[in-house]
Amino acid sequence: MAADRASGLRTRVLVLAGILALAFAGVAGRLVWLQVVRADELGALADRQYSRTVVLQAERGPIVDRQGVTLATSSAAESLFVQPRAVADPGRVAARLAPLIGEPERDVRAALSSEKSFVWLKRRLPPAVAASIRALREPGLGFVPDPLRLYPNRELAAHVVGFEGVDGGLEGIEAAFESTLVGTPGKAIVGRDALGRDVVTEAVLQEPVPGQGVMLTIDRTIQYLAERELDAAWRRTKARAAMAVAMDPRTGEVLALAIRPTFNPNAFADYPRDAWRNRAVTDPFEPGSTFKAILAAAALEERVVRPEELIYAENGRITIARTTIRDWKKYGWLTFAEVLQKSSNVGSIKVGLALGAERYYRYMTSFGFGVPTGVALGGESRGLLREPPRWSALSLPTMSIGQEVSVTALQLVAAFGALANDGVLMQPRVVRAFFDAEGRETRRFAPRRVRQVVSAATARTLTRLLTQVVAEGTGAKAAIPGYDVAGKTGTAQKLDPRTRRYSHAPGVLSFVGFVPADEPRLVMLVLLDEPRTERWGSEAAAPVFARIGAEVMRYLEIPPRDSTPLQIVTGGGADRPPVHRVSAALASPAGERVMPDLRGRSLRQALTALAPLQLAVDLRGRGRVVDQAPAPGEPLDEGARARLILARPAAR
Amino acid sequence: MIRIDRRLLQNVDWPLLGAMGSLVALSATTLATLSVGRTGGGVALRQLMWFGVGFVALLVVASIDYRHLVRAAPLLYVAGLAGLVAIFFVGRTVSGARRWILLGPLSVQPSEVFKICFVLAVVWLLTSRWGQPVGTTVLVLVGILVGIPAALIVKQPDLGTALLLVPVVVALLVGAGLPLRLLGRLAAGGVALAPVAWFALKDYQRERILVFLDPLRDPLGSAYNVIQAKIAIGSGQLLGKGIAGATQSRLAFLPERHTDFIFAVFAETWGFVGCSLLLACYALLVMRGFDIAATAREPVGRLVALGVTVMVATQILVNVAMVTGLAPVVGIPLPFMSYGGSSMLVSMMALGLLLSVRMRQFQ
Repeated sequence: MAADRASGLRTRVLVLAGILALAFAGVAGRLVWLQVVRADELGALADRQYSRTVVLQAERGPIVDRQGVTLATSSAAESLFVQPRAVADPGRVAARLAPLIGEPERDVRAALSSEKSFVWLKRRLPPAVAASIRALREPGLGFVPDPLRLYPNRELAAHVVGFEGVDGGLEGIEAAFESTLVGTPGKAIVGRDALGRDVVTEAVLQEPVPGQGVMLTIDRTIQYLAERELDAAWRRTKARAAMAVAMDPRTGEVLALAIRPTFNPNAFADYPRDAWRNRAVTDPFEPGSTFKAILAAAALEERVVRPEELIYAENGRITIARTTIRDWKKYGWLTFAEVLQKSSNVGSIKVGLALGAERYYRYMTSFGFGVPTGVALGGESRGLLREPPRWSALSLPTMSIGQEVSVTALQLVAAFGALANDGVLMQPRVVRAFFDAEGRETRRFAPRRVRQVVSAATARTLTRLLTQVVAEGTGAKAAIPGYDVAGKTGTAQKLDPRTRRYSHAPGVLSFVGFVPADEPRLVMLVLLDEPRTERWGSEAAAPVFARIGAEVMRYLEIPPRDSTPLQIVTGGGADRPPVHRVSAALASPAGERVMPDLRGRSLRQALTALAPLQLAVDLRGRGRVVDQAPAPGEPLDEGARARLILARPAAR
Repeated sequence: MIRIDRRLLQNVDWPLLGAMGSLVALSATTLATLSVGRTGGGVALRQLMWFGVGFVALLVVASIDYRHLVRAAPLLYVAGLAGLVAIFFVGRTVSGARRWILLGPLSVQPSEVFKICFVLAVVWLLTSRWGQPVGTTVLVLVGILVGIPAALIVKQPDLGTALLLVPVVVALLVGAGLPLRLLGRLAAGGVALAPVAWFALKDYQRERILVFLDPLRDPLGSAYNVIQAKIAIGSGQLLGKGIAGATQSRLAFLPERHTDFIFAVFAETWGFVGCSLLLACYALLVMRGFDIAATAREPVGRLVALGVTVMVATQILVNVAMVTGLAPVVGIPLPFMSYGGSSMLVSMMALGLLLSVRMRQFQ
């Protein structure tokens, strides 16, 4: 009996097991239904709602100069959208909204009563406007972060920085380092459900990752000095274009790259495309007489000529292949040093003929002509340097005086940099480092030595000759009092890139040189393209070189020749570091110290700006400065305290 | 110190433990893929830590003779009730429900822990001298045993957990020899009570049932979970989208994706093939449980095994049915898979009881 009962109960357990097994089978059947039978339909739904997400723009990395001064930055703008079906009373909402976003009320109303499910009302609103719209608390309105690119220094270094269009960087560093600057965009769902119905919800699915910042080799102050002097010369001579390129010959770091005509990258669309072009890398020109220095370097290195060797200048004319080339003055016997000083064409041609095509060509390529420099800027030209087999009988003599060859400004500066750097060619660079959102350096670009072009001895000999060019010769107007300048003027007719023939327009006036000659810190080219009021390089470009060079020497605190080393103590004490770079915003015209406007800046930027003021700073919060005390422009007393309140931009 | 007989070790149910191990491994990998997103890492690690704690609990429970535990059941039952009452005084509210008590750094869900005590208590009653033969008196007593905690749990509110007590009780009554005539009456009574229960429900609970019947009723509100889960599961198709492609799960379309709706995540990632493997693991686990119940030599072991097996099995079924849209949404975690300490602990203790019964079946 008990055994019967036990076996009966066992049967009951098995029946229960069977029932649950059936239930399992039912669930499995359901999975077949969903994952096999309806798989395609549901897969399409998943794709659809996935693709209906909104992209959250990552904050673009800033571009700063070598001192950390901001040249390009992103402000926390937000784009306003509306989901019209959630708006109960379009008329009333439009009346409140229209004045805030500065659009006609009629248009806003039309957007609010649209049949569409999602309408952008206004892109890239400043944070303050966005906040006041949020304060309306109207349903159906929403924001998506959409950073706005700002160039606080306007035209300054515009051709290096470039600018950003709707789809990312279009020119300059903004374009060349797009992938570094752009970051990783995030995603958010904006008010759509699985069935494609429209409902007001927002959810951030992936936070955007901000892009890295790019630190340039450009020095804002040197850039400013170069632009100021170049602009004056450009306007005075009514030149078609003008440029000044300054480089540190020891490292190849481009310190300034000024181009005229220029543009304001905040409103790039208002300028002709012509003004956007970075002519220093895109537009090759015939170097003319400046190229005689390259010939001289090759000839000296190959011992074809010695500086004191006498060369007969044929009384100012030489005929080769039935073409006569003249000097602007009739010279008789000249030393080679004088050939350079007086920029004698005849003398140079005779040296060139002695050097020979193959050797001259080898040195030209070795100096970097005919190949792009590899500077990280878009659209770089390689210039024009034909190989000797394609030269005509006239090529060697004309190339000896810098014709029938074309170079970019950057190539020429780099080549002169090699003369200034004991014969070592350095790769010109505009980018120093990358840094992350916290300001930590993530990558540093070290100086890159390209090759030893000529021996150090040759470079020094030529430097001596080029110093005489400025001291006693055609480059006299490039002289900087107190410093030895080495350099060479140039005047060239232009090769029209379209017709590939010499144009009859006034031509290219240039001066390229370096200073101080004994220990060069600055190599610079100044070039005026088709000036209307000047005819000679020595008349136009050299004085601009002198003015920029003098200021840069002072700025770099390079002691003048023959000066006794003397520590000048100013103000509060010797332990105080010299503050020689105070941003213009930090001092009022009267010279009293005022509080700068730090709102919207990162902590690092704010502290950099405050550093010279030597304030005690209280910080609260993280992110960007949203409020500050004292207010911008308020005068600062000795020992004042500043308080900064920081906040992260709202993600939704 | 508990002495462990060598013979006990010979009867360890290795397939059962193997199935459990596979499930925990699947759970940890699924959670790890989710933690790539914004939930932050560590969920998978915490789950494994809970598995460790649970495994110790399993060993402890398995090494104790289950008959001692059943004898202590009244005490455990009262202690469990005390935990349920305590919630109303010290409970932590999460999304509108008081289900958790904070014990130091841990939050414990008393209703989960109570389920084990409950099974043991009902088994104790059915095998006590008042329990035989199984008749009307027993039904009333069992009714009291179920009614008090069910009321407390519903009050939290956690309707799902309370309802899951019912199939466990029914299975235990059937297993204990309840005459089929009385079972029929019980069923009829339940059906008659249904309309009354409808009005006792909270609004959101009623809404969930209506949504179950008509999912398009409120696609972004109460039906959102179900629709998103269905899309996730269906879009997994035969072979799954892989970890990177599982947009539904990775992009937070799915709510509660590491707890109650983890099955949808798994289904999207690994597809029908993966789901079949998962269900096979569960089926193996449940069938071993029934096997242990069926081969038990005496009623206490049989009922304990039956009770915990039905408890775990119904939880699996209800969760998967809910996630696949076959049942209304009730907050029931998927044993071994869903992230949650209490659930993991209780599931491991249930396995411990099964092992305990199996190891002592020849004594």
